[in-house]
Amino acid sequence: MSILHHGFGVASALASSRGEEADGDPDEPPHRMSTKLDKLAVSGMFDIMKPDEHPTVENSFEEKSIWIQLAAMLLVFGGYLIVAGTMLVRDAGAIGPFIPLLIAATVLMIVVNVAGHAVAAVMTSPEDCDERDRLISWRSEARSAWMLGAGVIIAIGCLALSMTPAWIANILLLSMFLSQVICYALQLVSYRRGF
Amino acid sequence: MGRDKTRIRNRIRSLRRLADGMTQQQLADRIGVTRQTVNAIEGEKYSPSLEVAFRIAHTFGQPLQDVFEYETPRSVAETADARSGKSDSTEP
Repeated sequence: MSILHHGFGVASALASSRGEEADGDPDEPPHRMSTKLDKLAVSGMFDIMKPDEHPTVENSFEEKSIWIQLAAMLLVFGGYLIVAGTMLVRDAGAIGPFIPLLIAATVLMIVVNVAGHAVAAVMTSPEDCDERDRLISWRSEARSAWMLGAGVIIAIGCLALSMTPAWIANILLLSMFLSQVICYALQLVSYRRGF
Repeated sequence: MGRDKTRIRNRIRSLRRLADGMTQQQLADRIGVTRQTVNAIEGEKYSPSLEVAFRIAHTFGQPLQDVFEYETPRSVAETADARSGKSDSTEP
């Protein structure tokens, strides 16, 4: 409270020293003019202090959501791909052993995403996507889709080389993973740098 | 051969100040976008859709062309020439 009073006083004194006058009737009682002057000066002070005037803005819920999805994707599916890669190198046989691993990774992915979004919702009130969010999402998806296409082509090549279904399935999963990671990365770059 | 870079300039920040110091959040709520989007528009990092541009102009009670200005390198050069007086000297 004392800080506020001090702020008002300083603002008023600064305004008075500059010879600023409140707009309005000059015949107004002095105490009313002083109040107006205080309001003007204080509003000027708040203009300087307003948080939205700072060049950096707090991340939106959408941006936080992308960070969470990227982290979950890298941790969970990254981990799955490392384990699956090791299994493929040891024994590139049937696809059966990979199914429980993939189900576990999917469930863990959902759990990590739900937990992450719950924490983000506590920190930032969730907002609906607006046109900029949608545009960023569309552009990033369009620019990262080539990776999935490349994965499909490579998988077809593997099929032609008579490689096992486990290899083909995991190559497809790898391309999906990389495509999604590129998509999230592009979205984050767009949020930070604009376009 | 290269495509001219274009930029949509705006004076939203000064209009907000004139509108009783309206905050970015207040403007965002009125036009139905996030505060981050208002910040990006103000910083000329993002060109809004025509609909959002009209909503912003309507919020401030201004015509669209008083809030946004379409600027090309040519128009920048012409403005600079006009300011330095070159345009007068080239006129017959």
